[in-house]
Amino acid sequence: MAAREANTGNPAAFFTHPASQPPSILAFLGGWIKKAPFFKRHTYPHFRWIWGGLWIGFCLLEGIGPALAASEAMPPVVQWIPEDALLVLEVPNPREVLDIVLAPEILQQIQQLPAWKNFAAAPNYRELQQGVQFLEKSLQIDWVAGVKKFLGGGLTISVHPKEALLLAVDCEDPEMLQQLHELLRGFASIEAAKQKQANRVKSTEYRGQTCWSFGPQEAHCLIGRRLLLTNKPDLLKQVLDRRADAKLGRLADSPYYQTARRATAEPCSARLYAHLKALPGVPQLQKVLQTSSEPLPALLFTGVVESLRRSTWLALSLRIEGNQAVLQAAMDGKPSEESLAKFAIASDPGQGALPPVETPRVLASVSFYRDLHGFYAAKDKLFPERTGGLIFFENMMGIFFTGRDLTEEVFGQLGPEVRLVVAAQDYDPAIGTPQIQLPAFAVIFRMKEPDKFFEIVEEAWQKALGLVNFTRGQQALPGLIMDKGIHGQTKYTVAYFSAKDEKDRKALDVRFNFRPTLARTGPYAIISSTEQLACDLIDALQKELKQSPTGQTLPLSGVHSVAVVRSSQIASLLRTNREALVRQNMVEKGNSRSAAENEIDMLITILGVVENLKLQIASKSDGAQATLEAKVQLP
Amino acid sequence: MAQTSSSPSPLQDAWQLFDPAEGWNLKWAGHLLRRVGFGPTWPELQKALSQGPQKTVDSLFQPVPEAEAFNAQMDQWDSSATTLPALRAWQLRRMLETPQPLVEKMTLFWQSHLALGNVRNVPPPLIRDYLRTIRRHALGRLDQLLQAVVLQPAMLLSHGAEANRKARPSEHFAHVLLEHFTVGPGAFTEKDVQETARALTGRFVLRDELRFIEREYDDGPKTLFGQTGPIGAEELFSLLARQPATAKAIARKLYRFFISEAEEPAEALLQPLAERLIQGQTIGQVVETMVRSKCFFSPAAYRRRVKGPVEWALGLLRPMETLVPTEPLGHALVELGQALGEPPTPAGWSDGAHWITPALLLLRGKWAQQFWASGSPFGQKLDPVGLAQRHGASAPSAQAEFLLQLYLQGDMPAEMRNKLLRESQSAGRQTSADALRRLCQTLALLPEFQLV
Repeated sequence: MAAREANTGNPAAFFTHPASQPPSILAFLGGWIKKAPFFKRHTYPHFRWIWGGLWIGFCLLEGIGPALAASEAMPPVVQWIPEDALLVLEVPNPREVLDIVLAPEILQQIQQLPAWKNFAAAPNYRELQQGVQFLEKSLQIDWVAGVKKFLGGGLTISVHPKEALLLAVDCEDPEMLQQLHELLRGFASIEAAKQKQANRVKSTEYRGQTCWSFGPQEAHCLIGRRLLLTNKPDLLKQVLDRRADAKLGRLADSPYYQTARRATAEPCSARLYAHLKALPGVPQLQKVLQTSSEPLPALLFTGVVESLRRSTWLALSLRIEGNQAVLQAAMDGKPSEESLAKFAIASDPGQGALPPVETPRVLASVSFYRDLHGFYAAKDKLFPERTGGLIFFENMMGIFFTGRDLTEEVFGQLGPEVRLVVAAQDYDPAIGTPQIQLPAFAVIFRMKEPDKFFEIVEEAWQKALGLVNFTRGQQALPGLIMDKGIHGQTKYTVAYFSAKDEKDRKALDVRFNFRPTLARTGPYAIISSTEQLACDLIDALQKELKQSPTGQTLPLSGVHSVAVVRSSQIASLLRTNREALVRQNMVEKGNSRSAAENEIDMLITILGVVENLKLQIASKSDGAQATLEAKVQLP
Repeated sequence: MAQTSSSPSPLQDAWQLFDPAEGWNLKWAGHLLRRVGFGPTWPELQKALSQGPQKTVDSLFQPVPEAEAFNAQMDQWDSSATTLPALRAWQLRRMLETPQPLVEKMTLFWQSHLALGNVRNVPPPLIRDYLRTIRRHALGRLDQLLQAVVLQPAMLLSHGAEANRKARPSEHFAHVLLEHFTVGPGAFTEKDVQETARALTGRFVLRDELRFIEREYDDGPKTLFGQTGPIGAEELFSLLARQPATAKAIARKLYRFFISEAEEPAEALLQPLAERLIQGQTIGQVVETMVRSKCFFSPAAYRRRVKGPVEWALGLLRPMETLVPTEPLGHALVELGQALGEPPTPAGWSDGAHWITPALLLLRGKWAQQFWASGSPFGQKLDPVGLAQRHGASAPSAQAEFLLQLYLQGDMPAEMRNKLLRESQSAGRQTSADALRRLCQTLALLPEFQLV
């Protein structure tokens, strides 16, 4: 016989109920969540709660019982959430995401993951599987359909101060939600009776709704087809207050939230709002917001970090269109005119990064707007402690550009448009193939006075190659042979290693990945790790210049960083280097050969699924905006 | 407390076979396996305990059928290592997995004795070849070992002896060869150095390969250690290996490595070992004599040597019966003072108390914490609870006891033992897994664990 449930009749007591042991079904779920390998890694308690909530929700759906439907038109959950929310994830149409994530092909791929295999081998997995099978059999519905039906109406997760969490799920079928609740309630009572303990199921009436608790630090409420589940009963009370009284402070009325909503694209499949100023000292966030003391990361990321640091809110939205997913981020901060990070922002409208260069075999193409002159001029303020990297850089540049003022006569000669290209290589059969195949890379600068400045660059380049040869000679290593080449009408300087004495042309030393080349086309100086990429870039830049009516490439207005990644090409390169990667994984992670193979193969598979990625970050008058587009090729 | 055998006395009995009847238990099994390997696992300890000392030594010295395939596989894998940290990582991986721990232990020994000089300008593949050569000859004949290793391109390059011209023999390298690798200080004259250098002329390292250029070879007669003739490199190594001073120097070093570094051994104790080397016995045979002996299983040898960083770290990690990330482990060892492939001086790594200075002990503490931190790359791999359960210890108290037996074979002061067991039981809010991790950290820093 089930133990008697407690209806406190006293809402104050309910919302502040003491800690006690949960009944066994919740204990089982809680225990499983804690023990599952995936959750073990996430010590942050919120993750466990979110996943736990989803699980309870699924269990609720799977139950069969008397049909009790109480449908009502549901306003967005943000109209019930208190305005102090720190993070809010809204998934207005989960089916769009679930149809992809739970597609049989994807599930099949997931089941091949080593992490999944480990999880499936754990004893808890069998218990879980039995539970799911029982529910599937009882309900005559498979779990995939069940999850879709349960979450299909919408999902909202919010994080509040004092680690309070709210999970709101709009189920497609309110009757099933109600029925499952009854089922779990029954389980809880029976379990308590079995253990000869007092029934821990509690309920109370508040604002015309029945609020339930099956254990400590848990409270929930069913309102029509909506489940509200929280780890802090007081949060549930606040939510019900706002549902009943629209005058109380609601997130939907917050000007920050409203601005954030307007800044991201609608309609979307999911959106995230973060109140950055109110977020407590999350160590990871604090780390991100620190300015790097190393010049290169500072040059690349200071602008973005500064925008983030000055922002009150951050909004993310995910849009899925066919096989393309677009993630858009917006924030309301941007570097000020007085900021040291202003070198990363175009001061004039119409200025910005140039379009990324496309070449054959390209893996990644990145384009920046960075005022190198301004950056270098501010270096003493940016890096007051002068790091080893900066000292080395200045020493080297002092040798290469002897007798010239680096700030004015070197960096002052470069335009703010900098482009980087990484591409796979085709190896010349007459030379051979290296054992480890590395991609080629190149950087392209725009020169303000190319006729005058390129010769200076050429001199510096040859000094650098001489230094490399001298150093290698000291180490008894083969040196580079310098030569001149012509591609079309363009003359360039190339340096290469002789392969004449090489015995195994199919497994050459790693140095045969390099054939450093300097070339000039129009106003652009190309510094490339290989001759092949330099020639490809000469072609691409000449084509770009020809296509421009002004003879100058048009910039992307306001954009300060663009990156295009051909993920499938990277997968192909990784496939070529699979053996080396597997060996590296073995010593780096301490994996067995088979575990290392699994990890690398999985990485290659994932990269193969994502065909292309494009990230664009722009500064706007009202803040900063980032857009990440991913084109996926699902199996 | 484990039973101990009596101290060897008189000296001539020292190298006689140890009789298990004098007391064979887990303590001595641990002592044997620690000295000839890198931290025994529980099954290895149990097997040794049941087999007895002589059968266990048999299994350590006999060729292992799977060793050839293992080494061939590892040779293939480490051939892609193009940097010194990567080479270290593969050497450590080999130490963890090898079916022949003694060979890897001796490779470590010779890596210190036949030490490379400045490796900054030595391509890592040459260091890999040097290590492979050591491994191949680690238990073989001394003269063959010397000839194979000393003429490795990595050795010559690192000691600045890549061009041994007739007009300018490399006396510096000849000095290293005599003082550190063979006869030892005080056993040679300046003339011996000059003649040794002349014997090595004609050897050049060109494009990473050793070449003999005949016109640069000084083929005139040389007089070395009382022998006169056209001594070339081959004759040189044979002559050096036969020198009583060399045999005694090597025997002394082997004694410090396998028996004790606490006090200088008596000449009479070393003499039988040195004679074996002079007679042409292999290094393996000499080491076997030592580890089968009464001396080895006596208080004169037990915990009479300080663990170097490699022995300390692998002594902690290998008993856990799992693979660990060896690349970060290599970095840890560099910090702890033992950069594999890069000994600090031609005399190799210092031993004894040099390994446990206050600063280095603090670092051992830091790394013990790193190894057992549950979120660290090591901690994610190490599962003391799972290991204890696999070996039948299910209760937390039994698991703690298991770890004491595994790491120290329970041989520690009773007071400390009880204190550790108490602390592991009253771990407050910690889970039993956390408590066991903390116990492992503590064990790693106990004085007893610093000794091998």
